[in-house]
Amino acid sequence: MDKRKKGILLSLSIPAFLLIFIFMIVPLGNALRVSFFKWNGFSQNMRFIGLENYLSLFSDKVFWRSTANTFVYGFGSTLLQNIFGLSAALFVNKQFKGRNFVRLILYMPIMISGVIMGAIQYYIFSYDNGVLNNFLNLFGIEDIYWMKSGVGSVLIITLINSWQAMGFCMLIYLAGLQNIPKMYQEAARLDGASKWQAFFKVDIPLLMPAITTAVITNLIGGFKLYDIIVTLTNGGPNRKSLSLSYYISLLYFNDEKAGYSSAVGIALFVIIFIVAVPINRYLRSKEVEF
Amino acid sequence: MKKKWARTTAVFCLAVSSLMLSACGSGTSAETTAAAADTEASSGSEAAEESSEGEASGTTDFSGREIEIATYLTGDTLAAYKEVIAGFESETGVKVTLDEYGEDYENTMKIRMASNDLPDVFETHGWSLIRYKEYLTDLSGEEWADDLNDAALGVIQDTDGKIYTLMTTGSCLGTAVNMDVCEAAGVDPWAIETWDDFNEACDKIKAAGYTPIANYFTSAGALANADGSWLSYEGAVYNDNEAILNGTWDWADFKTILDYLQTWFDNGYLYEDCGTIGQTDAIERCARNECAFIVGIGTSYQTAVVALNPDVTMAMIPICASQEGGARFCGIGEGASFGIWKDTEEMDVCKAFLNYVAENADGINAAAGEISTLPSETTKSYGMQMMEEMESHYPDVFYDNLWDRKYMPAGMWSIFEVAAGMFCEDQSEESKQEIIEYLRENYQDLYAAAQEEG
Repeated sequence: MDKRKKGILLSLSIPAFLLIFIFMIVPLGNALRVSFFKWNGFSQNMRFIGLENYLSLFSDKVFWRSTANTFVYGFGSTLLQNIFGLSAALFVNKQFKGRNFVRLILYMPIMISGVIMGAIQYYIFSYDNGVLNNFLNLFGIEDIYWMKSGVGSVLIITLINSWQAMGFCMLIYLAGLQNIPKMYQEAARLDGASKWQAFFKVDIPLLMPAITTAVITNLIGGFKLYDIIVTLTNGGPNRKSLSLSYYISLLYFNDEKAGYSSAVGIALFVIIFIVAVPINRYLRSKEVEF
Repeated sequence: MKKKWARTTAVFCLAVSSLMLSACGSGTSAETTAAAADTEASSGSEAAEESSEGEASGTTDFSGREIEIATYLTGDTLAAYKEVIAGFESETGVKVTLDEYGEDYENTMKIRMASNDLPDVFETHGWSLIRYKEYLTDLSGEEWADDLNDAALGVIQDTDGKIYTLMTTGSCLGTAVNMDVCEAAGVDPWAIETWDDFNEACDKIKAAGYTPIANYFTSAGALANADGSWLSYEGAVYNDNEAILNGTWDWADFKTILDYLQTWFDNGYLYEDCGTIGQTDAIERCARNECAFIVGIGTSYQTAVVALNPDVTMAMIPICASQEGGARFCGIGEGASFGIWKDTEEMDVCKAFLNYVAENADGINAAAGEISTLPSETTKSYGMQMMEEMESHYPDVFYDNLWDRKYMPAGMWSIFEVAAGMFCEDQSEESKQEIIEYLRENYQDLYAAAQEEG
């Protein structure tokens, strides 16, 4: 590539770099700076306290609980979304009447905003007059307080998030499946491979680029989960279903601890980085070219 | 290698985006302060020039001038406020840009305070002294300031006698009562004086098949709003006012409150899901005649209940006394309240706007269903009617500023919210000690911060 062409290509990437610098690098630097201060988030006075905010992380039970929840939201949702998504993709990849309608129905939940989805689910899982409990009442089952404990709330949030984002996974896998030339499947079947063997030995390896994209996107989406929690449980009961993203927001705006909130933000950044980079690297190493 | 680097960079960028949440709106810097100082200096002279032009013409014609107003009001109250704004625009020629922030109001205002870029006029919703004072104009010299009643002054006046907000309505906080449920259970709510009486009434209501108390522990109010009953007022179990205010208070006394609230749980007075519901749920349940009381809530609650079901009869009684002879009280807080940014370039227009609001606040008052604070408000709102009814039964009711606003340092409200959740989950002795320790630590921290801020 000659120098002129290189220069043109480089200049074309300037807007993207500029946007990343303004909306990612600058806030990151600012968050890092604020994390060394004691600040309520709106006063013109800030007090430098060094590493105190970071040291407080170690004794903050809510931080550790939210970290554990964040891992459940991240890994749990990724696992379920990929299982549901791949199953759905395999199903709608077949020829049958009404296939497009089924695809649309399966994809629809992702088109609803997380805030609205959480609000809808609140009325389904509510203890008092919730749709699910009313339904169970028909069979003589007493009301169940689904979100009484933190564990129950976290599981419900994970399930809803997985179901909602399943359509996105399905789309990625559908594109991946349609890109696999049929001859590989046919060759495998001619060689005597069963349906399952052909799927695991031929389709899955060839789907690795789609798996990498789906896993990394779902993982980061799960780690950053925020909107469903706000309207479904509001982080409760007793802040036990918080994700780190929501905890950061509560600390900053509600608790007026902007410095500490920034320290938690930096911790979340480090967690996502540490988890996502090796997984991404591992999955890429499994990709095959065809 | 390059490809790997590109992938790593992509993951890095995705991870960075997680920080956007905590990093936004944190632009406090020497530059912004300096810029604000510059703005102040220039705006002062500009405003003076503009003001003299206005005076020279002898009219209130501010044609061509523009102000920005931010509001958290919604529904009928917002509609009433918009009418007032439209009237002001047509009378003066001012163009008003109204930012309707709704539920995002507080967060947005915090971001705007951090960047020292506030709307010319904004609502102070109970925080004119504790949170917004640093950014507000002293309005004690305004004409309408002399018209504000004592209930309003008790809430918005600082120790130097300055006021920073035009309070057109006050929020009166007491115990909301569903009279229909009480009647069905054979309870006379007007006979309730102490917490013991209250529990007796709750027993009867529970026996009649209703839920006695609809308080929800997702709100700080469940733990904070009634505290004056035990700690601060005449005849209370403790008289800790001075110690609370000077930072020497021993939080061990708070256990009395937790011990009492435990009776609500032990006796089954509360909803099973009181740890996850909110005000909307409580309003809906009360409108369905399922529950009798909610302690420490403003009259807008009853207004909302009646709006949902006009057949329900609601009333308000004061918050109980902790013992015989103690003060039965109601908290008074800022309702619809409007302040002016101290660095506004349109000071004269903003002051004219507040004068206009003060003269035309009746519609806002009627829609808000709260209590009047200005002589221009002639409509007897629903809240005012309830307050009068309450006073006819309890002529000696004691009014004070909201307990947390008067006695707690800024930032304690959210601490009480967390503590309420902790208490709802576990009312054991260990949990109580943990809650008290949590409150103590944060109180000391925030008290010290408040002292530093001056």
